[in-house]
Parts: sequence; structure tokens; C-alpha cells
Amino acid sequence: MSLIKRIFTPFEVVDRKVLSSIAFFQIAILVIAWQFGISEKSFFPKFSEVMMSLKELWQNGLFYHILSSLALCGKAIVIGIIISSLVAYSSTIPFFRPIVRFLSQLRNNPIQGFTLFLTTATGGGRNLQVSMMVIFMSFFFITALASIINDIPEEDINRRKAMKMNRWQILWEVAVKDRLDFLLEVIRQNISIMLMMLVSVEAMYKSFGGIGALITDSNRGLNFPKIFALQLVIFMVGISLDAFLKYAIHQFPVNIKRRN
Amino acid sequence: MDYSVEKELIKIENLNFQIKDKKILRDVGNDRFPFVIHDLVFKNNTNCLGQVVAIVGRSGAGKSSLFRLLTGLVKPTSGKVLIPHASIPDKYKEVAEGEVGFVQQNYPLSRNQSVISMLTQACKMGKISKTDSTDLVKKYLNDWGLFNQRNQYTNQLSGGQRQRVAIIEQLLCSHHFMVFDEPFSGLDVGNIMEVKASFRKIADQDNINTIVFSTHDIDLAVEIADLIYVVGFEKNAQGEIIEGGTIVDCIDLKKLGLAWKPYCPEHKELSNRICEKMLLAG
Repeated sequence: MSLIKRIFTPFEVVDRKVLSSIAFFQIAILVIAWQFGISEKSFFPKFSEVMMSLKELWQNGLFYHILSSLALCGKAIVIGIIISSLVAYSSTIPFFRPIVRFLSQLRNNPIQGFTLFLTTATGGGRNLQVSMMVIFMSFFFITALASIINDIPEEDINRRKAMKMNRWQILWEVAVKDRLDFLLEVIRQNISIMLMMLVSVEAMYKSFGGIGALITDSNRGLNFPKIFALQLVIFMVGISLDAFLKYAIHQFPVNIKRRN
Repeated sequence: MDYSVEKELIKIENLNFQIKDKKILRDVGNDRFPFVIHDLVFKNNTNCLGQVVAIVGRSGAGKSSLFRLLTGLVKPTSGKVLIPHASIPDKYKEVAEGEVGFVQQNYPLSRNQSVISMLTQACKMGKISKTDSTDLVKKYLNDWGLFNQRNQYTNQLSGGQRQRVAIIEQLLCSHHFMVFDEPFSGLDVGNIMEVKASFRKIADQDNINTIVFSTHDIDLAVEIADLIYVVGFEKNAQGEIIEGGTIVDCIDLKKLGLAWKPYCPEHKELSNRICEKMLLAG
């Protein structure tokens, strides 16, 4: 089968270099279309306009806004994962199982309506921003982590029982230590939710800066090249975080390939 | 080989096991087919003679449930699984979780621990001191051909290596009694030889070491076991199957003069008889 035919045939395996070439070609087509395929009368900004805006943003301190957003996300993830892990691990204890199931279902609810109560409780400002992200993300973390714990094979637990471990030791060894890479995977899969929340959360207190604050301002002024530039920045931040976490997950022994 | 039968090591008394309304095991270890594993000692021989017991039966007869009961992982609905009391001689107690080693079919191991780390942890669970555990782990790694794999992780090990790590783990937890659930399932010829060698190694270590294993390969069972229990279903007077697997036959290869001998035509004949029994008890 020729290479061209293989590229368009399902389940065909092609070389990584070929895949990279395909991706490069598709990105090039996209950029060309973006630059030359858009009408002058359209509101949709051209590629060159977006790049100019990006350069302006960078010159006006975009880097520090990115750092501010990353700091907010980082803090929220750490607190969120700690709280979610404790809740999810408690699902192994029968008494807490209904509570964990209830909390997991709360992921269907938006956070609007609770902002005033949270402002009162946290005192507003950065604390409010962190709290909102923690609360919102935790429901997703709890769901994912509880599912991982639920899927622990009985034979893993039986092995530890046969090794004379008590139930708390089994929880620590099997659910926590042996599945730390799953924890990182949960974070990786839910980063997109966190980035989506960034705009609404940072818009509450623009004095702290952040990409979300910048997008809110740009949106108000209908500065489309700037909005698209910031969207591109969020896209790149998301890809970078995803790649970083993928790399971290691959350092775990379970992902080391078997040596011959 | 001349041997003597010493004290009882594992015995089951009138065991019944039910899950909700379904009877899984019925009257295992009754007067007709007692389930008793004795300590065997070679006479005039310095070698150790551990016990190797095979449990055979068709799928769904209740072998896996019997193993979970033997290892104390589940409690019987009624009846008892008894092992010698650790501190009171000549007394027996019901088996509890962790008192019988269990090597499961897929040899589950830790996902993110090295071989040496897993075995060191097993020593800790077996209450072996830190100073002794280093030497003991090293000895086992050398004896079982795993020294070069000591820093490797589970997904870097071959199937045979994983099995050996799983076995050593249970041995280091001070288990004299070990249950193997389908240890030969899905293995190639080389791996089967490794498993047989492992059984021999365990049995040769200590007189009271006892292996109980299940297999669908009856030829293998008659070749390596000294006692075979057949699990199946009995029929009532009308020819209907009675719910709940039970022991339908017990073959003592020692009394038949077939234990500890290389495979021969008599083994094959016995294997055929067991197969026929299993088909009738299906």
C-alpha cells in the first residue's frame, strides 16, 4: 500500500516523522488560510493581526500575567487535590461512601449563586478566587479519583491481605502509593476545566492580573486580535502543562518499558 | 519412599459457603471425604518433605471460592478451616486473613515498587528484623535467580519472574501454607518447568511447608501432587445436580505408590480416571 493511501486508511501505522510532517503541513495550511482566507470586512482577525497583538501584549507584561494565572491555578490544584484525595480515599470506608457519591454529583451544578457566601467566608480577593477554583475543580477530581479507587482490582487488595497488612495499610499502599501516577493523570485531564474557569474567576478581581483578566478587558473593548492572541496563549499554556504532566507521569516505574 | 504421617496441618470441617441465595460450596470436609492435609516426614532421609496438594474440578465447581476460604479472605457460612495454633501446641484455630499465603493467578505485584523494595516490605510484614531482612532478601534473590532483576519494576519482569517474586513475597511473610490459584494457566513449557521447580524449592525448604494449588491440567496434578481433591457436584437419587460444589473424590498418591515419582503410565491411567470422575461430577 502506498504511503498516501496508508495515511487515509483507518488503523494504519505510519512513521512518527510522517505524522510530524502531516501536522506541520496542516498547521501551515491553517495559518495560510487564516491569513489570506479571511475577508477584509470580517470581524475575524487575520493571523498577522493576532501576532502583532501578541507582541504588544508581551511588551506590556504578558509574562507576569501568565505567571499570575499559573500561580492561581497551581495553588488551586494543590489544595483541590489534597481535599479531593482525602474525600475520595474515604470512599473506601462504607460510612463515607454515600457522602462521596453525593459530592461527586455536585459537579453538575454551576457555582453561580454561591459567590456572595464565598466572598463572606473568604474575605474576597485572591482567597475567593482560589476557593472558587478549588470548589469547582474538586467535584471533578473527586469523581475521577473515586472511580480509580473503585476500579482497584480485588486481587491487588487480596495480595496485601495475604501479606498480613491491615485495612489502613492496604489503603495507603494500594490506593495512595501505588496509584500516584493516576493522581497526576486526573490533574492532567482536568486542567482544561481549570483553564476554562480562569476567565470568570480572574475577572472578579482584575487587580491581581492574569490572562483571564486580560481577556475580560479585551472582550469588553471588542479587541478581537487581542482576544485571539490571549486565546492562543491559553492554548499554549494548556499544551505545555499537559506535556509537563505527561512527562511526569512517564517517570513512574509502571510506565518504564521492559528491558530485554 | 518411606514416610510417616505426622500432625494435621490444614483441615476443613463441614464447610458451607453461600453468597446471598446461591450455594457455592456444600459440606466440604465431611466424614465421607475428609479434607485433611497432614505433615509428612521422610524416614531415614535428611531432605525436607513439604506437602503438595492439588485441587481439580471443572470451572464453576467452587475451587476459587475454596481457596478464598482456605486463605481466610472470606468467612464460611458455616463450618471451619483450621490450622495449627501458632503459640499453643496441639491446638487448632480458625484461619484468619494473612495466615495462609495466596499466590493469585495473574501474580499481581505493586505497580511502582522495585523487586527489592517489595521483598523488603514483605520481610517487614513477616516481622523479620531490618538487619536480617537485607541478607535474607539477597539470599532469596540469588536462590531464585532474581538477583539481576532486584532493581527492576513489575512491568520490566517476565511472567516467570513475576511469579517468583509473588511466591517469595508470601514466603517472606512467614507463610508455611501457600495457596496457588491456577499457577500453570497460560504458561509455556519453559514456564511450567519453572513453576514445578518453584514448588519443589518450597517443599524442600521446610517439612511443614504446604502447597495447595488448582489446575485444569490433570496430568500435571498427578505428576507433582501427593494428594488430590476433586471438586464437583453430586447428584440426588433422581439424577439432578445438588446445588453447591463439594469434594467428590480424594486420591492419595502416596498410598498408590505414585507420589514423588517421575511421570509414568500409571500416572496417565490415574489422570484418565480423574477426568472421568470430573465429567460425571460436572
